Amino acid sequence: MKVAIQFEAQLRQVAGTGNAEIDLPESSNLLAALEQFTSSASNELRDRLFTQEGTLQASVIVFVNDQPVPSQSANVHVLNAGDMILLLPPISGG
Amino acid sequence: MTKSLSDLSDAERARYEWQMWTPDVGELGQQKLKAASVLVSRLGGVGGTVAYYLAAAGIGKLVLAHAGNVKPSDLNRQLLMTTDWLGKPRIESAERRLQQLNPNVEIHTTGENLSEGNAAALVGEVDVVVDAAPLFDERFAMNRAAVGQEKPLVECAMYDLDAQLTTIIPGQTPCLSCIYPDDPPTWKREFPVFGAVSGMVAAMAAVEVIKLITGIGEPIAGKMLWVNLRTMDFRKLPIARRSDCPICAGVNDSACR
Repeated sequence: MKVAIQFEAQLRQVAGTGNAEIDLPESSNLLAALEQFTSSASNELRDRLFTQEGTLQASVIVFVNDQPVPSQSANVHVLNAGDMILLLPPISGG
Repeated sequence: MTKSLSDLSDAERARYEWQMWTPDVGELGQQKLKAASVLVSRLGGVGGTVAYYLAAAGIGKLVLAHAGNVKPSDLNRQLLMTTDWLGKPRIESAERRLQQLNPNVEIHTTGENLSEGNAAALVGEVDVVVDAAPLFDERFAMNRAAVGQEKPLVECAMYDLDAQLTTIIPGQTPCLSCIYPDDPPTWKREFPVFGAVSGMVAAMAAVEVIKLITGIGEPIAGKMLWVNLRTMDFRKLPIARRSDCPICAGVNDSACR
């Protein structure tokens, strides 16, 4: 199944794109989707998305289809074909 | 508001006439603005522009916090800083500009940035708080003080051509620590910015303050506006409270304002 990912702000710069699409096995969860996408991405993108323990960084705000998903739920949030993952990094420019 | 409403002078009616034409504002709304006090933390591209619009709108008292001296690299976006004030305190430049714009506004200044040491006292001086600091430490200190004193907090920030805005109502909405439970490890103090981008989110933050004080419209509470000016996408996204939030979990609806 195909799932879209949208990166904003610093993540867009690090990912080198604002939009990506990944092909996943059916019933994949959110954490697995991001692990798959970043498996071929830069270390910097992985470091911005994941902790050293392999969980999602809590300071990255994650939405699926514009609904928030807590970082600790990423490994149980099952995705569906056509879902759109939105990743908002922390910004504090004033 | 903690201050009682007072009549407008003829000069004030003349100055604010066009905004008093806004439906549901009128003279009473202007009196509310005159009676209100607002803290703005940092007066950079975002906070300085928020303060400028609030002074223009006739907020009664502005409490302003910003350390350091004016540098050349401030001047592409920090509209309260002027070339003739290079090397001199930013807070003085800001106060001078705001008084030139509207001498009716009472301005209290501190030449310090917001910190855990001064946040409670500064928040205690005002009705509404605007957070526009470039460092999360300062934002978290502001959040803790605003939630602790049950004061509404307008959170506004930008990076590159992206910006975000939300209004925190203690007891009702997520607070900053709900949104960012950990201190973001990757944020750097220096960031790409055009003044037009910081000014855009600042103008919206000023509108949020005006809405909170006058009661018009609905503040963006419990939602986050994310703006991407590269694509002109404006998204209003729901955000959720954390039941385990160390800052706001114990604050309930009835305690708010």
